[in-house]
Amino acid sequence: MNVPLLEVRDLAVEFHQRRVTVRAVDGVSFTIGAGEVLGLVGESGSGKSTIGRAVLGLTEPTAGAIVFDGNEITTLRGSKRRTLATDIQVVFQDALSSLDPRWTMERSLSEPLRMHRQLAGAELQQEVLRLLGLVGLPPEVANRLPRQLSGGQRQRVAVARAIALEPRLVVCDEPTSALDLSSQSQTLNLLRRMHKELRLSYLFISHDLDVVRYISDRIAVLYGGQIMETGSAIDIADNPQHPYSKMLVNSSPVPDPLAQADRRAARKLTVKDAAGDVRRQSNTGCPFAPRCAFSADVCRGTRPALLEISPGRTVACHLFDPDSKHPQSREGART
Amino acid sequence: MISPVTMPGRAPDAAVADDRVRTGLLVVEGLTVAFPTPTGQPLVVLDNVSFAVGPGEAVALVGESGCGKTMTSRAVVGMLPEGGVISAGHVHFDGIDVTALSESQWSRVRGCEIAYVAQDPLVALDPCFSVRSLLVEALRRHGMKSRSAARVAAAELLARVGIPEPESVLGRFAHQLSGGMAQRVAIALALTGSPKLLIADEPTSALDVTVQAELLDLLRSLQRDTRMAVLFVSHDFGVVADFCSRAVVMYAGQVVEESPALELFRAPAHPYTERLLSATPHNASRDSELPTIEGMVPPPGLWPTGCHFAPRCPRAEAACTLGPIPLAAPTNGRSSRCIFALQELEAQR
Repeated sequence: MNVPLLEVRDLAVEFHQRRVTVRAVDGVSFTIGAGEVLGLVGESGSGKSTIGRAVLGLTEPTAGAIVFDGNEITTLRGSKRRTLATDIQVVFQDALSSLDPRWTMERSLSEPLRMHRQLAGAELQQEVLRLLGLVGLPPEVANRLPRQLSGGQRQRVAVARAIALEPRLVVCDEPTSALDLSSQSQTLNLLRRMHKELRLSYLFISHDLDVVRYISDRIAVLYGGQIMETGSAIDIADNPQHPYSKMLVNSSPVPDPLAQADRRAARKLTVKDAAGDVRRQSNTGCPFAPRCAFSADVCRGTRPALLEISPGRTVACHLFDPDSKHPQSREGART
Repeated sequence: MISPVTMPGRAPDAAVADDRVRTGLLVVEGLTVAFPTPTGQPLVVLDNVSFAVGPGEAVALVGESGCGKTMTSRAVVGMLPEGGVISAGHVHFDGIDVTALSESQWSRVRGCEIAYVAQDPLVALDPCFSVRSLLVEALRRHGMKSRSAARVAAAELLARVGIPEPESVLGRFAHQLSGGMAQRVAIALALTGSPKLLIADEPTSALDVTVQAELLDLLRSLQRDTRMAVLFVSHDFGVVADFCSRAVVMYAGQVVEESPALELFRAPAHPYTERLLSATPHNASRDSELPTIEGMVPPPGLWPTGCHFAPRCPRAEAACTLGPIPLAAPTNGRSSRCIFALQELEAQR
């Protein structure tokens, strides 16, 4: 079997707040093949952005390994880490805060080219214009400052800067979440085109299941720092198996009143009646158990393993019954 | 209830405000809002906006940012940003022209008869006061004399907005609440005056989808129980489909379409609505690019003279750019500011 482009093994990231330790990412493993798009979907606090930051070397993992193209990069720092910038790049949610407000777009785009590709003079200028053209921006954008551009245009510049060094992996952290619908579709098309033309791999992080479904080959659903379910994008979005994935899918509103009424009814079946206190009591057990309509004693006591239920499909749920594909049906499980 | 005796009466040009004013709870007629500029030429940000919300109805105000949704909702509650003036048109609420109200008269409508919930609940929740103080203060301002009765009512309100342990939440401050919890408290605060109309400006946009779904359920049940009307400002067509029975679509300062929700999604009556709906990635084919709208919403001051959408519209012809396109009078509850759609709606008549 080929070596995956990125392998994340048992990644854990802890943050210390005063005397409390928060486990933001708790034993997450996944791989991304060359030219593959993996979508990480989850809500706030699921750890999806922290995983992205750990892959980028912006957050130090507490445990686990991150292997890029066969080389372990988990603890690489300094100049060794910086050379990786040519291979791993990032597009953040808000280009207004990731682009220097005092730099023109030309300067923002020139910087990586000068540093890593030693371009200068006319050659450098030409490459900047080529990049702008590649992401569908007119040449005059080169002289603009970030605040003189629209959100969609800024995000295009962010994409141009990310692909300037011809990386192999781009971490996209909610790249379209701050955009309006029409800019969102333009940006998604651009990312999709870059992925196809440059054979880029993406770690695509988003809270929006529809967006992740469109752009990803595979999806991992995160909750409380752990992976709940993985599978092909279509399988996860159209046929979720884990109770949390079901709740997530059924909570995402559909732009169709009749279909939405059905989805709302389906959601009621997977949701606990009383909201109550849904915080986790302990670090054992399934993180979703306090909110799960099907949780049993075993869910609160033991962490469920991520089990392969069909080729390429894994689910972490004690109560998953492979025959009925329904968590409720296992004998005596419901409390 | 506002007494018509103590309030300014109907506008003299009440002829325009015909049936709609009598049957509608909120009737916006030809609302035009402008801001002064250094050149002296006022900058028009809302152009001839008309729509109505019936009693107990849930109506969406939908469009992208920069289309005038929030400006419209703020004009309706008399809270335009500094400098903004209503240069033409009227807003009738419960039969009264509220555009003519003085600030002191407004204070008896706003917060009581009309309540407002913003995207960020912290706008409504003063960080210096506990949830209990905020609710008790609001209840007393709305006529509940006894402090102890107000304290009981505050706990009841929290229970009504689905907060499981009201007593523990009453003692907290805004920063001690999660986003969803804070929005529930903001809704409870809005309910203190038993409003007839709730204006909800993107109330769930900052929340996770599972929390959003719970809040939409809450708003739905409150609306059903209290019969209050809701003007729901949103950019999310999924949320509109979930909550609203009718939708008003805005583009570049104008209403471009008004339709019952079912029809809006099945057969949009304006190319902007149609293009925007097709740009949603929901159920999009993964084998092709998403349909997009090229370019962006023109800012106020740069609107075309003809149809505002014409420069981005795939159907645009010379006739679209000749002069302003009127919003057609409703046919079967639908109206559109598109000459092609007008012909099609006319044909259905």
